[in-house]
Amino acid sequence: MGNRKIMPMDERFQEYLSDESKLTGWADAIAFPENEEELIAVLKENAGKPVTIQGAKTGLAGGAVPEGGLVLNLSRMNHVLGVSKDPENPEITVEPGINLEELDKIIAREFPKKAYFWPPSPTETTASVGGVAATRAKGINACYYGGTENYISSAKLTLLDGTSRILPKEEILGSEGILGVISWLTLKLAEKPACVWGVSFFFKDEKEAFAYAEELPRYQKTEEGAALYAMEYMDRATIDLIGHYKSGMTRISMIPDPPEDASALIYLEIGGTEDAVEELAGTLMELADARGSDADEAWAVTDDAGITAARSYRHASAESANLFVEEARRTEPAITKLGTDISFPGRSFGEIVGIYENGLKENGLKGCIFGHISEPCPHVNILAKDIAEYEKGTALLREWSKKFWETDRAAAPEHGIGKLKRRFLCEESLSGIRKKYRDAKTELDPDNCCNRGDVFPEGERFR
Amino acid sequence: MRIAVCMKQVPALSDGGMDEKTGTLIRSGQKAVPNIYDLSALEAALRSRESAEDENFAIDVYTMGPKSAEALIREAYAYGADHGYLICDSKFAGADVLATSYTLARAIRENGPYDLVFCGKQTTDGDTSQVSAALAKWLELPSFSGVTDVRIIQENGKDRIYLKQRLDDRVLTLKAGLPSLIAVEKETFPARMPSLKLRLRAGKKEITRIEAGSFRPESGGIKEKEYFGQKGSATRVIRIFPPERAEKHPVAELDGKEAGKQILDIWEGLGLRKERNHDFEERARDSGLS
Amino acid sequence: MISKNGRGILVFLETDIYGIKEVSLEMIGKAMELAGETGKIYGAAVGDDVQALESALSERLSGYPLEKLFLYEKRGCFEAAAWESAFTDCVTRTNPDILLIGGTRKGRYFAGRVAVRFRTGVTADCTGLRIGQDELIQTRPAFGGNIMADIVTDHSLPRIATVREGIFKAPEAGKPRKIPVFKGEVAGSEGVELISETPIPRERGIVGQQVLVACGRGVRKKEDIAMMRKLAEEVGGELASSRALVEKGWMPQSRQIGLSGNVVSPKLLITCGISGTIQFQTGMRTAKNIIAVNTDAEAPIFNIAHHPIRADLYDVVPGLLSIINREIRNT
Repeated sequence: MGNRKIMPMDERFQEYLSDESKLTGWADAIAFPENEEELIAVLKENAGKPVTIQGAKTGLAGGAVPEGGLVLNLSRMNHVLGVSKDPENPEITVEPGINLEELDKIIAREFPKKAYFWPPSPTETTASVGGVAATRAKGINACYYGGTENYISSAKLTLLDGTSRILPKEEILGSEGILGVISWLTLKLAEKPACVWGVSFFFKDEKEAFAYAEELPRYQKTEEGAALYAMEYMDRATIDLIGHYKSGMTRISMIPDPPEDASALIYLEIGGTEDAVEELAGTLMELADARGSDADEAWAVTDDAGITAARSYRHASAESANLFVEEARRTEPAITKLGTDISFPGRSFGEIVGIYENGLKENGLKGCIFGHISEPCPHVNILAKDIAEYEKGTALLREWSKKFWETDRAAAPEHGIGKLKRRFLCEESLSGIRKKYRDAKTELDPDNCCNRGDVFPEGERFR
Repeated sequence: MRIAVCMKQVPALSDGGMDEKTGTLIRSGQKAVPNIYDLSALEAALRSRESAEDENFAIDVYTMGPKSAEALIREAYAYGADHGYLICDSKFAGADVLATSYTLARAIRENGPYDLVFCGKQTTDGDTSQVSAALAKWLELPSFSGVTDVRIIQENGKDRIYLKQRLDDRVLTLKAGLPSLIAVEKETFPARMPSLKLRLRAGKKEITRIEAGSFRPESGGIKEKEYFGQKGSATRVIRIFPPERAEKHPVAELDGKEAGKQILDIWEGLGLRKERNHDFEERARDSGLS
Repeated sequence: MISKNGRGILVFLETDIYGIKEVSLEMIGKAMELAGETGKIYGAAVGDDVQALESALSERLSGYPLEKLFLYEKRGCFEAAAWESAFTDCVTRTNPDILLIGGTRKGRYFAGRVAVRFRTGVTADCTGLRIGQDELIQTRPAFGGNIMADIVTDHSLPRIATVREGIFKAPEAGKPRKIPVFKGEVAGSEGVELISETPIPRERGIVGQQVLVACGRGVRKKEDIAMMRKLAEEVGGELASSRALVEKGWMPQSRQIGLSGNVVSPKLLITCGISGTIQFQTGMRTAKNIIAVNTDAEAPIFNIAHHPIRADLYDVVPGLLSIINREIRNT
């Protein structure tokens, strides 16, 4: 008979065969454990067979797309297990299936007098905490708070045989679920700055926007106590793409369109004490004005709702690209998201964007470019309308991957490799990433049952 | 041309609910923000100014609230308001619709005259959209609520307004004289983004504080009673209690026929009807009503 | 304090081109409950043509215990100040304890003016009205709906309450009798000129609808959407969709409910074959009455549905369509 929690795959669970990458897989069974005990029971019952772990299925790389075996959906493991109210080190221990919105509510409830939050939050607010940890996703505040690893103090990994390990977090973060199931995590919280302004500057000339972007790191932190908490870029193609889908997106439909002659938008979050923020904002405005960004046209929001809306707008960059892909897939189902999200520490933002733009132009492809200015980490989404463009786009991504591996050894994609990215990354960069996890995989999942097809090819064996 | 805009702060999101044991509210700790409906009222005023050719077009914001409501006025400055009045005094607290509208009216009359008064439709924290109509009556102004379009026009050398007003089944296109009170719909006046430049200037601008003692005694006739605060309110809350909690309802296992019947029962029980598909004119002819 | 044995209650009777509005009947029903043994109920209506008002209302309301009908003619269109004048006149004549106004747009636009005229309280959007402790207790949600409040109007008369449609029930009609009619006239504000009136066609989008039928992955073929559309029509609503069918290209994105789609808050939402992901729930969780039909007992939508039904939509919908048609033909 077996564990009641494991159900055979059937039609009504069809939606659990895909994630945001739009890849579709197949599976034999599905389970929705509600706590660690049930999780262990399910894993033991399923021992020896493949498992694909799912959080909220918001992943862009196909990590949650099963290729046979059991779908292990953790969305019902969404409880708080513990809270530490030590003001020096506020922490909260949660199950992996809790999503970021739920987490925010719980933090507000547990710490009513403090403005705490979890910094790694990416703009996809329905993502699960487990998913964020597994892909090492970062939010737009990473430029101030640093990497995701700084905000996870420990995590417990449950292996496919039901036993568990507490591994050093560096081994779990970014391992994309190929080692085992994260059954709980302890998150470190940070305090929001007293005052945050979300400021948007519009540049008529892209090159000026790049030059401005290069100057920003100088203002990362001021003596008066203000700092740049986010630095994001969006190109005209992105603005237009959002404009196309905006009316159907409730959260941003009321946001006005940027000026028509804007070639680029730079969104900054400035935090600190009110006076220091005002001063830095003024300085940055003058700087932008000197770069041809009309000071009269700059926007500034200061309340939570305004900042949330601004972030939703930034997030709409990715959402719009995904909607474009969905539409294209209706006529050509082979089309998937064609994006890259590599970081280039030390490089010039404008130079990287330039490389992307040239690549698109040379191949006659349309794309949109947006992303983090510090690092820098621009995301480029190639918008392919038909199979010919899709194939050209795939080749272009591989070409970039190879080029960047040669020049920068740059490889680690922000959204994880999953199954999708293998198509777009050159062998060398894939090898580099795989090398990192090979030993752990060999030790913990030699039969390659856990998230088979993610990071490593399905056929890979580790014995 | 002078326009007064009435605005209010509301809690960002009242997720708190109630602590049944102590009977007090649980606030979620988020800051107060400008009521989004009032931002549309301000937007309507700003657009009127942009399309007018008047050099001396002033937009003043009035808000009733605690001292922290200054933040609302600074926010209004970032959108483009010229001057702000913070109506703040412990005597004004606990005001219902009658007292709130009375207090606003006194403040506006004191600093008027205004050609137009703009209000938002309602607030997000559950108020009832009655203040604007009540305010109009205190000020003895015609009131137009549900306004989706408003423009200042010239007719025979006088300023008038051209406006569109939404009723449940029709839209009225009207012209009216000044002064009048306008309550706008949110959808047609989506607020612009606040300007960084104006926001930086807002910090240094003055805000006028209006307290209970600020008012000049109303002149003329019998001294009217004052309707400030809780003492001036006509209504009073006698009890607060939590709403029915949303419990998970047990899943009904029904066959197709039973399920269909249950759905039909629920639909009928809600008093819903399939709308009669009659032609507008035909119906009007039938009823003789318009 | 309100009269112990009987209350005088004045009800705003609103008409549209179809006749008296449902909410006005509901106010009459509530007035009948509140009036008490010796109470008197009055109705007042305002319109462009007082003869037409009389024709529309006298007979229609003859079965309700109304003491008198006050009909005011105001030439031209609605204006809040004019409706206020009418009710000022009527309140002065009838001196009621309570004034009940349906929470329609017109009602909301003039109620506050009448309250100030009489220096009295107005409690809008009441979800409950009852006599208690010698007072009219007006219940409504406060602070964003997380709290309910009981409110009284202490000294002034009339106590004014507005109530939205569907909160109370329309009364059963009794034996018809002739209700005395008073006719009067009111004028609008000076300088107000009507340029035109444009009827609003029934909204075709899904936002702002009272009734929605939403379909999801449970719909197996594109052709089957036709029956879902028919169901939406029969229940007087519009058809919406979860993301699944939009992705398949079977439904337009404009009809999608969810985080990357529309947020809706209908009075009644019937979901068929929708599992109810968080992204979907975000778009509809404030719907007042949710009926969810799904074959999966563990579907997340069942956590928030008021009426979760485990069944196959293919078993439910065709049958429902046939009985709904029968019901309508019988009325």
